[in-house]
Amino acid sequence: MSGVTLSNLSKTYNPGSKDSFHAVKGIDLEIRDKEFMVLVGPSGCGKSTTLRMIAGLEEVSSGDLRIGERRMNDVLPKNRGIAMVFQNYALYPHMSVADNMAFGLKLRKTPKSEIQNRVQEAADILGLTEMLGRRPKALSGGQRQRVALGRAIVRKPDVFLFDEPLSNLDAKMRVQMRAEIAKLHARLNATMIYVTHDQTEAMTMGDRICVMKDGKIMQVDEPIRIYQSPDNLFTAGFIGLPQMNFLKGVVEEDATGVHFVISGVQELRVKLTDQLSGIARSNRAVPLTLGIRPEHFALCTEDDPAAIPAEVEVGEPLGAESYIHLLSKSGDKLIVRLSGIIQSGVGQLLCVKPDLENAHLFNSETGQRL
Amino acid sequence: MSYEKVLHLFTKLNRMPSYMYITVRCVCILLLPFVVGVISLVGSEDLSAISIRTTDFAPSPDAVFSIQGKAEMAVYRAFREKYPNIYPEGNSLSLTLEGPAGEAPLLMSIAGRTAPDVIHVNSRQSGSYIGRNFLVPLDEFINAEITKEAAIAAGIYDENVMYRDELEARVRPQIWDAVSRIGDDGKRHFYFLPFSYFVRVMACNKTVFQEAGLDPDVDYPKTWDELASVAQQIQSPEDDRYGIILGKEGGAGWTSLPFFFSMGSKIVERDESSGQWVARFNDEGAIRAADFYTKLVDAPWTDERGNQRFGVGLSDEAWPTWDRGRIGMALLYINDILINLDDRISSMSPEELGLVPIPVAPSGKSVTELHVRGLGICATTEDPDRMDAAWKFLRFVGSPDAEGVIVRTYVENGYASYINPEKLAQHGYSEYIHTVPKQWKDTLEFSLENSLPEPFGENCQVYIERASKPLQTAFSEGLPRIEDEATRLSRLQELYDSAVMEINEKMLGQVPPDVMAFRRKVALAVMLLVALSFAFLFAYIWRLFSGGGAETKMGFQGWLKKYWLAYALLAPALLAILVFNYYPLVVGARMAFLDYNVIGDSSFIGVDNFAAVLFDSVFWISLLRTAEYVFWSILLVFIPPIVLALFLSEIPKASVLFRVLYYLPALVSGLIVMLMWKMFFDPSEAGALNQVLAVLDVGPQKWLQDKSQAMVSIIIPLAWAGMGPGCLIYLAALKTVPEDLYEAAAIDGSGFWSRIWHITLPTIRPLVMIQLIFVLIGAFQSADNVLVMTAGGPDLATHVIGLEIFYGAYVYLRFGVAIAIAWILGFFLIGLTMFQMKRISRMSFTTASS
Ligand SMILES: Nc1ncnc2c1ncn2[C@@H]1O[C@H](COP(=O)(O)OP(=O)(O)OP(=O)(O)O)[C@@H](O)[C@H]1O
Ligand SMILES: [Mg+2]
Repeated sequence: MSGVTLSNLSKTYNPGSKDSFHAVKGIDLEIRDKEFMVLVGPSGCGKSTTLRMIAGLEEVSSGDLRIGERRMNDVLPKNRGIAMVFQNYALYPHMSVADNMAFGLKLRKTPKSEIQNRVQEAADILGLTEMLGRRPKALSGGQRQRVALGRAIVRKPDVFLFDEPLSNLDAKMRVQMRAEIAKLHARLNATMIYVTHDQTEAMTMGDRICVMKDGKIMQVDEPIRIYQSPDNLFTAGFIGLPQMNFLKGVVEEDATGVHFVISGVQELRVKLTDQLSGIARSNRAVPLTLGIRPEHFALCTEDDPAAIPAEVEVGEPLGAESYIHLLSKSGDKLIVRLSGIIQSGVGQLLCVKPDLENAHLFNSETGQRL
Repeated sequence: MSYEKVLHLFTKLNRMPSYMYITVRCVCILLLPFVVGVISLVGSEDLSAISIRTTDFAPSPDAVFSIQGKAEMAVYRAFREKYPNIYPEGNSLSLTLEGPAGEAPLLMSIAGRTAPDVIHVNSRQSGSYIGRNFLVPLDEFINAEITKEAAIAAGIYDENVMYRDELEARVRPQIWDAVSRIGDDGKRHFYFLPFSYFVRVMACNKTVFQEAGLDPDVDYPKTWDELASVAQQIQSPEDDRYGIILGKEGGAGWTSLPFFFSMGSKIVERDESSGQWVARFNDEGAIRAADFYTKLVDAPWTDERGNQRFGVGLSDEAWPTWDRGRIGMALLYINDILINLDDRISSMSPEELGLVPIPVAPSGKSVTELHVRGLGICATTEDPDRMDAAWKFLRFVGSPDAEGVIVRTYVENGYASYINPEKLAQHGYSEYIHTVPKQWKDTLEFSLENSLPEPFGENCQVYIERASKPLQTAFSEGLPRIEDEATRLSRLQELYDSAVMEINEKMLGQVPPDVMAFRRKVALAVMLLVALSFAFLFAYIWRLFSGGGAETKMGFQGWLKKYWLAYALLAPALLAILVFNYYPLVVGARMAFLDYNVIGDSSFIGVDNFAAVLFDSVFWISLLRTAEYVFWSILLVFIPPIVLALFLSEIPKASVLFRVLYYLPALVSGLIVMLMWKMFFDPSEAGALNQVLAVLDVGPQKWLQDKSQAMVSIIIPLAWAGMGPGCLIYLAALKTVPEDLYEAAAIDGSGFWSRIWHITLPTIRPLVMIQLIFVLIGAFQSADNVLVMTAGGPDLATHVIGLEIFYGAYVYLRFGVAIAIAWILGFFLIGLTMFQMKRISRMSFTTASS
């Protein structure tokens, strides 16, 4: 059993000094055994710090860190049963590929034959057999990252830690390596914690995703659930490309039903569905934000009760679908995704209506989904 | 003046990285004579006035501080009065070096043609100076055939010429052969004229005599046996009283000289048949003298109280003990004008100081050593007017007129009672004669009569150095403690036989023909090996750097078109390297095969220089010393900065402070570092380091003067000064090690040592290798710092090969031999150089990270 449990984990850099910085602010996270957990979030949100605390490369300021049953706060990195893959590979430049992989085992006084078997095995898995004698200098970026993976694999750790391992690779290589790491996870059956700021990686690789912001966890859930029901404005905006559209407004009720009144240059009224109406009604007093993903729009006529009239700013027909950037009458920018090729000229007036079954209402002030 | 400017330049240069600055400094030392020459050429001259430069009797800032300086100034003024258009100037060759190296600055300036016109000569140097054509024969100024009267009678009298009578008045008979040589033309040529005489006598501290129950005026030693017994009577370390002060180390040969003379040993003699100089100090008299001398120093005896003792005195580091009046006797110089001129006795009154002749030897004779101070005209003075002025000057300063001025100065300063009565009478101060102690007067008179000059054959500088060796060996073997006289004598005979053979070989170049033939064969083989290695090196470097034939297809035209600008820009640098590096190299290569003379013709002697080097024990000793030097350099200069840098890079806090602290010494320039540490190494209890040791309850160490400590002591200042800069270079390199490498290693399980060994060191390894090579090459070539610190002593303990080259060239004036050594040294460095070149050719001058 080697899940990883963070309880109220905090990190303050340079405590007590002028430039003290609270990078991780008391997070709770339970990573299950054999789970692939992805930490995402914007730059500087504390992903690496969290990962490095797990690795033991940064001291934990407060809170508890457990791997399996054991409290690891003060355990040396080498004794935590972890292996880490770094963004810049961190290969030992003066050692051959084989030696790079074997280094940790040698330090652990693993028998020679055992080392050789493990290195051979890892090389086979990663297709490095041909390169075992080379120095890292003589390898491509993808190959180097594979060596770094190999170095982690041969150690047979309980937990793999990755800190943006693919960000130095080109797009094609990244896709390939992504698949390889996923395969590896399936094959090795180990717990993996993977830091990235690339949401595609997060969505495709993770069993669960942990979204972070400013040293706090915003949401932890399976990728699809994060996509479909983001807990807050931040997660909603962070996951999904193009971004979810946000419209600010208030709720008004009249005889025809509950309306979401989009405030702006020109007030627009969108009639809510029954499901949303219930939520809206109980939050009449607060400013709200309506969130709709680009794919949840459809063209409509001007007289549709949920119609949002808008002007085309840019049209991007991609073949199977088209992205259209709009400026609504209320003055909000919208991106909508429509299937098929939609021919639209700049400045052309278009009416779109949101698919309110898949729309979300947020409290603008707290950012929480209602 | 000009020399100081150059020295100043030196100090500036010292701020460069050490390896660079050592090279630059070596180049500077080589260029020094030229620079000084150019500067002195620029100085313009007043047409009617003639200025000459001289080593003695010129105005100098510290002349007023000594009575001797005052007298010399008076002579200078008298000269100026007599010859108002001649301006003698001083020569500020104020660089002082230890031991025999002390003569080197003058020799360097002669080689660079910047020497003074009038140079100081003593009999020991005269052979080499004359042999090397450094001195102008004074033929046109001296006529030794006839007297002045005869010249007048014959109508050929010239006021500017010194005739026989004046010459005889000035040159004592026993140094006639030292100041002149019979030339190839069968005539006697004079090369220098004395201006002052010193003789060695036995100085007795009367107070000490009285303390020991002796009457100093009666019981002073008259024979060797008495010398031993009187010294025994005085010797009583319990009472802080010692018999006699005697040289034990490098000075032993010189101290013991009067004993050898008294036993009739000729030391060095001109072989009448061959006309060659031959060392002769292994004759029976010499062995007896050596036996007596070594027994004085270390023979076992039992004092009245029954204490077992060895020797009857202290060795020559004990001068401070003499100065505080606790030693009974010492061999010291007295002067033929002011008897107690020597600092060691000048402050003692006639009541305290007894001066008696050297005790009579079993041979029945007492012969002491006569030291002559003289002046000659340097051969670099070619202008007839200057030559004439120089002659007038050196003739004047030793003339009765000048002597009168000197005597007057002494008398006026209250020294009348210490002046040679003969001189007092001569210059009109007879009233003081009775005040001069009779014993002093008699001793001076006797000693001047019964004295011989120091050996004056060619290369006799070596004699002083080498003549101590058999004595030193005898001491270290405990020879004087052996009771059986026959055993002692036969062993001494062996030691002296081999010393004589060595001197004859090294100093006088005498080797039996069959031995020489063999040596030439060996030398030829070695020389060819050296030459081949160099050819190979050049080929290797050429191949390394000429990067393949990409341009060959281009043709010369295209090549020229493409690269002309690059080569044009490169040209000045190339030219400078050719002129300043390769031209001297080629000229130097030729010199290795010449019996090179700085002045006059040099003859081709084939591989004899190499033969001389390879069969000289000192050369091999110097190789051994170099190995020691290299070893300590690696241990103390090369490794500590690496270790320090590693630790500093590990220290999270205050590392900037440490860096500054360690770097500060580097701000002190090289020569000053050496001189400063030389002060720290003061062997007395007052020495800075000894005071530190005293705090730790460790007794005073002799540092530079101790054979076993000298080498380390030389390296310590280098370590001290090199620590900071070396460390900084590594620290900079350590900064380039990516942090995540350390993190990866930490996760892999590296501890402190494993991290340093597997991550840090490999990353800075190229730099470490290059630094190692710089340190190695620097260590192999080092000479300047050793010269300043110990000049190779004590007893060759720090005589590294670079110093052997320096001595060969500038002390023994055997440039050919020196260059031959330099080539052999180069040969040893070939391997290192190739390695270094390979490294450099592989360096791409970028900062690459994985
Ligand atoms: N050693 C440090 N000292 C002080 N502050 C630090 C240190 N390391 C990181 N920080 C700060 O802590 C915050 C979190 O850094 P962290 O490296 O965890 O971000 P991240 O989420 O990994 O970002 P990125 O995606 O850019 O890698 C940042 O604001 C950063 O400036
Ligand atoms: Mg990061």
